[in-house]
Amino acid sequence: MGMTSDNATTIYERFLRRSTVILVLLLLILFPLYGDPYYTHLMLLSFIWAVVASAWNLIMGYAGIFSFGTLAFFAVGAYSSSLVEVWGGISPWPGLLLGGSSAALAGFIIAFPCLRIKGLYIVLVTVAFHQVIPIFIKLGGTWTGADVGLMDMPHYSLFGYDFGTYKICYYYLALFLFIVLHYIIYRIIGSNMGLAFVALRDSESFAESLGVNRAKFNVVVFVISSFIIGMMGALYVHYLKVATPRILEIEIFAGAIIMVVLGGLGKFPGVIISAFMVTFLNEFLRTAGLIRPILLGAIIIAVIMLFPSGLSGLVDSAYRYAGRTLHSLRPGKM
Amino acid sequence: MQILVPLINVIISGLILGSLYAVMSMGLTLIYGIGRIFNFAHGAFILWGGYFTWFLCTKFHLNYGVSVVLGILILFPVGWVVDRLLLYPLRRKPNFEINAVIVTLGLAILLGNAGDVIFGTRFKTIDQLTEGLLRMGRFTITHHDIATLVITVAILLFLELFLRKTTLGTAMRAISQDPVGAKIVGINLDRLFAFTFALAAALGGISGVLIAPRFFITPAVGWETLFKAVIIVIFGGLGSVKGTLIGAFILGMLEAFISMYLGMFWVSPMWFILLIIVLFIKPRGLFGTWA
Repeated sequence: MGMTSDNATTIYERFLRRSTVILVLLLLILFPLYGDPYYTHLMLLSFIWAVVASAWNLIMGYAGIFSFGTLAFFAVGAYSSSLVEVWGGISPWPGLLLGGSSAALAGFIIAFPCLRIKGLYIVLVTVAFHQVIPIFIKLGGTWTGADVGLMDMPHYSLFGYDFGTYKICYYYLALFLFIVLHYIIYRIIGSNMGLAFVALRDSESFAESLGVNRAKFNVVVFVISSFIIGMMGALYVHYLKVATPRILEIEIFAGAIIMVVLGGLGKFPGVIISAFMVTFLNEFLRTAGLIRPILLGAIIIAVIMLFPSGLSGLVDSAYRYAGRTLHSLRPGKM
Repeated sequence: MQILVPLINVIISGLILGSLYAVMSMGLTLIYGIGRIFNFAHGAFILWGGYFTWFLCTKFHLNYGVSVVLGILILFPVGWVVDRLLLYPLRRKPNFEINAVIVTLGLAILLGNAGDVIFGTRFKTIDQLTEGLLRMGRFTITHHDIATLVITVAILLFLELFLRKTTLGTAMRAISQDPVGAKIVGINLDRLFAFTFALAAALGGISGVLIAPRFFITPAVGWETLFKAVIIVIFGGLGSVKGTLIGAFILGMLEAFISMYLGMFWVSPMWFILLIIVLFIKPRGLFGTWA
């Protein structure tokens, strides 16, 4: 066939990767059969956080814009959808899109000052943005529930099944969004737009000299990632039935940043895996009480110091090794 | 005169807040200006200035003045060790800027919560530097506030003289202007980065000692001071000593006026709005110098 051995290895590697994805998806669909509601709950939270982490990875890892406003967009999505539903009596399905859209609007607004600044300045401005959100929530008084939180948003319902009664529906809704949004993020990364993000990240002036419109792509990546994050925020508070300013706490931020760095900045599948790991770890550390944040801090330091390219580095080399092994075992070679 | 009294009171408290903020954010500015690191653990250093002093005072029953001085001095080696252990290895790898941000964020979470675990969660506070009130007709001002002002001026003078007149200070300025050139003329960059980090940590300790008597020493104080300092340094321009100083006093004065006429609550939203306006007009802050 004239195919070089290296190409053949890649084909085997790709085959292995695809079969893993299909196998994992099957397992995820069948997971509730296991029957333990606690683990189903943890899986559901992992789906939500995996999407958040991937959307964050899209802007920080691929586009190289150090936005630290992820949880702020999450909170904007969460609160705007619940506010409209609780006080406006709107059904939660448009609420989901509304949560995404208002977060996207916030992202659009934040993107503009960020166009004229770079690197660390973006970190600091988005951190400042994150800090203002709880103040506006407190300012809302009874409208936003202030410190206590906003409760009593309606449950989703589909074909007459109320998601509050049939909790399992939440699992499949989250799984559905997990798959669809990850597919969209995956396609964006592979598209021309994704190439533009990476080009601007790696060599901004060169990319611009080739005609890549930096301003346009920066605004676009802000809008896309905050839309996805905002939608997840809306789903999150509907599932937990309460929206409180606690979603902006430093511990949750620490968890989210571990997902991204442990997965590997700019590495797509690693971040998904680490989102599951961090969600489960965080839950098991609940008994550690005061020590938990200390452990989270220590994990952040350890990951950056010891595995700067994160899990993805390990996963990639595992696949390459397996692909090579499979290639050498192929029939007819013996 | 009747109208002027509250106005002058507000101006005085604005000056005091401004000087507090200037000391608080100067460490951040030094580290950024010289090492190009944004140190998220600065709030934790401020917090630990309070913790060390409190610990020496209440557990070792040391004299108050001795505890304050020791509490600040301990942070110097702490800063040195942090730079050697965490930032020195990262400087040799790609993506230093963002890795340094994330590592110091991890350190901030670790150090910020370690105090509660080590010393317990009960309320901790330390005495004011000096007790008492100064009365001048209708105006009163606490001795602690006067001490804050005096210490701020002393620190700023010390820094100015140190950076201009000593060999070490000149070397630090050389690095901030041109690291490669500084290396060529034989400046030991790594040692100076560690020294800067240590000095900044000690400056954080000083502001911790000034802030701690006003609040209880809790992890939240570390974060609040950090976020205030973040806004001040972006407002003034990252890495600019002059910008930090002017930013601190403008925002301190603004805070005094807002809390007098609108309520404490509006301080943070107003700061943020002002920050966004400044960034729209001058994206690098008032005196930002980054390339």
